[in-house]
Amino acid sequence: MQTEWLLEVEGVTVAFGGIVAVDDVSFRVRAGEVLGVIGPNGAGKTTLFNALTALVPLSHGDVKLSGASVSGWTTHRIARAGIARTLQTPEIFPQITVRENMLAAILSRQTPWLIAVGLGLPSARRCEARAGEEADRLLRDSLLRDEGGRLAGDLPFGHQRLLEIYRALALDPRVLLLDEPLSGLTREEAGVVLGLIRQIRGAGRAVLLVEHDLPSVLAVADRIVVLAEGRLIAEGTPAEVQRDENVRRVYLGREAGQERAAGQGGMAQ
Amino acid sequence: MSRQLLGTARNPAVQALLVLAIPLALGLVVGPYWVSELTLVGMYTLVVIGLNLFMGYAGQVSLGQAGFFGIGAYAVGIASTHFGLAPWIGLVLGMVLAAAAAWLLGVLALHLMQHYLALATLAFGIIADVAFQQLPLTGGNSGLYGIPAFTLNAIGFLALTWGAVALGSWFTNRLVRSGTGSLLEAVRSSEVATALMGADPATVKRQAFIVSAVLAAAAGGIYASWEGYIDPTVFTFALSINLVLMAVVGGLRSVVGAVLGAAGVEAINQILKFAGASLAPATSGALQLTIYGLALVVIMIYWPEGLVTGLGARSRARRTAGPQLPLQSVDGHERDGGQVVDGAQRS
Ligand SMILES: Nc1ncnc2c1ncn2[C@@H]1O[C@H](COP(=O)(O)OP(=O)(O)OP(=O)(O)O)[C@@H](O)[C@H]1O
Ligand SMILES: [Mg+2]
Repeated sequence: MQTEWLLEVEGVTVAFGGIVAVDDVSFRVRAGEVLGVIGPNGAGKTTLFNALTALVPLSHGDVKLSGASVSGWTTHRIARAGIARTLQTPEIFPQITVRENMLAAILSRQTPWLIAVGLGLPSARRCEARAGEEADRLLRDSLLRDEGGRLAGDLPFGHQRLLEIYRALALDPRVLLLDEPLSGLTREEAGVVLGLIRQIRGAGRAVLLVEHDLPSVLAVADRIVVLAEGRLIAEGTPAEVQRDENVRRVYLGREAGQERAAGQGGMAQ
Repeated sequence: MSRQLLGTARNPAVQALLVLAIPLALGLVVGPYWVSELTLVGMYTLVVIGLNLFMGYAGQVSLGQAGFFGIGAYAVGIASTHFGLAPWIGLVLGMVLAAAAAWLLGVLALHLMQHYLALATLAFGIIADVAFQQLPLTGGNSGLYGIPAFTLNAIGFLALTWGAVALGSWFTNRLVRSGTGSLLEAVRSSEVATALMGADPATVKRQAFIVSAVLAAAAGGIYASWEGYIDPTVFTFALSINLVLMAVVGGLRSVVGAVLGAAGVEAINQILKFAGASLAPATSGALQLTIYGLALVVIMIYWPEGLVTGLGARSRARRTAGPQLPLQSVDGHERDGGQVVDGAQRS
C-alpha cells in the first residue's frame, strides 16, 4: 500500500534511567512539508531527533520512512535511507577545507575501499571524480561558493552552521531534521537559512525544524507540533497552535510579554 | 617559487622517490653497520606509516602491532623452511593473513567494544606472541633458522626495504589527500557527525586498521628474510610499545614524521642498549621500557598530535595567526550540544 506520509513517528518514547525525555510522541509528516517542532528548554526536542537518527535507542514506538520501519537501524543506515540532520551545536570538520567537508559528506553515502583509493584503482578513481564534481556543483549553488578552499574551522559561526546544512543536503535526503539552525546567526544569515528551508520543501522533501525563534517558525512552518516535558501537547497549523489553550499555558503565555518586548529574537533564551 | 617547490615535495610520487633515494644514497656511502641500521629503520618506518594512519585517523592506539609484524615474519619463515616456498610467497601470504586477523579483530573490537580496542589489540599482541612460542610450526622458543634471503645482498635489502616504505608512503599519501581521506579526517573529528552523513565510522576505522596490519606484516616478512632467523623474543609487547612511540614521536598523519620517529627512537634504542649494557646489564630491558613508557606519557600530554606534527602545527598557527581558537571549540566536546549526543553514545 502506498502511503502519503513520508515520515511517521508512532508512540516514540525515550527514557534515560528514570527520566522520560520523550514520552509516547506520535505525528506524521508529508513530502513537501515543513513541520515546526517547538517547546521550552528540556522539552525533549533534541532527544526526539536523536531517537529518529538512532543516536539514542527507542524505549518504545516505531519510526517509518515512506511506510517502512527504520527503528532498530543504525545511524548511518538511517542516514543513507534518507534522513539527514544537523546538530544543535554544529559539528563541522574544522581541520579540512569547506570543499573537503562536502567531499566527506558525498563519499559517506558510498564509501570506496580505502585500499582501492590508495592504489588508485579505476573504480575508486571514478567514485572520487564524481564526488569532486558533485562537491563543486553543490558549492557553486551555495552561499559558501567563494569559501571552498578555506579551512572550515576558520569560517565565522554562521557559515559553519550553513556548511553543516549544505553537508546534510549532500545526502540528498528525503527528510531533513534541523536542530536550532538559526541560533547564533545574524538576521541576514537567518534569512538565508529560511530561504533554504523553503527551497528544500519546494523540492518535495520534508523538513523538521526545531527552533526557539518563534516568529521564524510561524513564518516558515506548514504545521507545528508542541512538546512539553517530553509529551506532545498540541499539533496543528501555526494559527491553530497559537490559539491552543495548552500551548498558551505551557509555552506561549509564559513568555508572550517577553516576546513582544524583544521582537524577533524574543523566544530564544 | 618556494611554494612551487613545496607543492612538488608534497606530490606522493615525489615523496616516495625521495623516501627511496635518500636512504639508498646514504647506504652507498656508509659502512655495513649503518647499512644494517638503515634497513632496520626502514622496516620500522613501514610499520609506523600504517600505525600513523590508524592512530592519526581512527584516533585509536594499537598496542599489538608486533603481532602483525610477527605474522608476516613467521609466514615467510614457515613457508620457506617448512614448505620450501619462495620468501615472496610467504610475504604475500603473511600480508593476507594479517589482513584477515585485523579484520576479525576489528569486527570483534570495533563493533562490540569500541572503547576497548586498545585492550583488544594488546590482548591480540600477547596471544600472537604466545602462539609464536607454543605452536609446533613456529619452532617454539628456539624459533626458525635458515630462512632464505630474497637472493639479495645488504644493499639489495636496503633497497627492497625502502622501496616498500616508498610504496607505503605513496599509498597513504594518496589516500589521505583524496576525498576519501577527507572522510578519514571526518571520522577522526566527529564520529557522530560522520555517521549522520551516512558513513559507518566502524567500517572506516576497521579498514584503516587492516591497512596498518598489512604494512606491519610486510615489514615483518622482509625482516625474517633479512635476518635469516626469528624467535618469539622479537615480537613482544616491548616492540609494540617501541612502534607506538615511533609513531607518536614522529607525529601522527605524516610520512616524514614516520621516518624521523622510527630513526629517532631506533637511535635512542641503540644508545640505551649501549648505556644499559655498561651501566646495569641485568635490567637494561626494564630500563628501556620504563623510559619509553615515561616518554609516551609526556608526549601524549604535551603533544597529543605527536612531536613533528605538533611542532609543525604550532609554527603554522604562528604564521596564520589566530584561527586556532574557534577551531578547537568546535572540535572539543565540552559544549552542551555535544554532551547530549555523547551521553547518547555511551548508553
Ligand atoms: N543522554 C542523555 N542522558 C540523560 N538525560 C538526557 C540525555 N539527553 C537528554 N537528556 C534529558 O532529556 C531531557 C530533554 O532534553 P533535550 O536536549 O531533548 O531537550 P530540548 O528540547 O532539545 O532542549 P533545548 O531547547 O534546551 O535544546 C532533558 O531533561 C535532558 O536533561
Ligand atoms: Mg535541544
